[in-house]
Amino acid sequence: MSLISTSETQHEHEDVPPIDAGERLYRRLLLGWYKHGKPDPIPQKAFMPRPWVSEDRPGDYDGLSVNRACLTNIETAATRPDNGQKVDLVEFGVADLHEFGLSVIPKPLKADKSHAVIPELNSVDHCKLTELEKMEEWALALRKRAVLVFKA
Amino acid sequence: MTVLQGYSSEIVRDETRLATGAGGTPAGALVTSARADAQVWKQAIDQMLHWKSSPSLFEANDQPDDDILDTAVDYAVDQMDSEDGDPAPTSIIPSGSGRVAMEWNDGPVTVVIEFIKLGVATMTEFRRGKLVRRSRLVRNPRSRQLELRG
Repeated sequence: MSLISTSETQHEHEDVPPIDAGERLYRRLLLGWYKHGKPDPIPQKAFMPRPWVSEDRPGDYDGLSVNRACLTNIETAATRPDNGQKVDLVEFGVADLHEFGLSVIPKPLKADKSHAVIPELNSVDHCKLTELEKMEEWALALRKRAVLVFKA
Repeated sequence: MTVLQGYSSEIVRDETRLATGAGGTPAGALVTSARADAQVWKQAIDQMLHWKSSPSLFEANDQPDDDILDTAVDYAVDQMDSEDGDPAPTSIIPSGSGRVAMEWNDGPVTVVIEFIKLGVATMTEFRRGKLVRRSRLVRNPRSRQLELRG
């Protein structure tokens, strides 16, 4: 398996291994209303960054949050860190990102070493129309690849 | 004319009836009677109202703004009450930073209406994975209905 080259140097994430092309990723879905009782299909906006609204609401400025499956488990990944509530969880692959020209970089948090971000899906570029349109299509493509692995 | 009709969407459902082309609606555009969907719309409206009254359901960055929820609920009520309203969406989710997004799917077509501030929404249509159209919806102060702007 090949290693992904990232824009971050290895020493900045010494406590987590570099991301491998074969890795799987998780993303938590927000609470929502679904006509079929479950996210089917997974909403396109689930793969869009929170938009920038103001200096106080910068949105997902560093990228879309995901969790590395190899550094966590489904139960933990499906648990909201703020209140412990379980939410729906979807899974997709690093290879899927590559296919669309996207990347993923580790951004381990104190309480969650599995945290990573997809930097191309960020709220800053979301403000630029041409970038926004690309992001919208990427989000649609990703939702088609993602699979629901936990239903809250 | 509902926003989906005017947007040339081909959202297809069971119990459909053919809309005659008028005012730019392309031939073959299929629309549904909102009556068949009224109960589904009501469920969606009830859920959005629940979100408004229970802010602790969401992380701070995801809680829909009251103004935006009001606009989304108003739109939903308009469709539920109208005989030729838009069909109920496949999903309604908070889309971050106070916004709410409704999505419709039918085969190769996906339409997303995102409510972004009081009385304003964006509408995006995708066909076979490509973004083909984006428009702005603004509430007409007289009719209080969302209308396409460009």
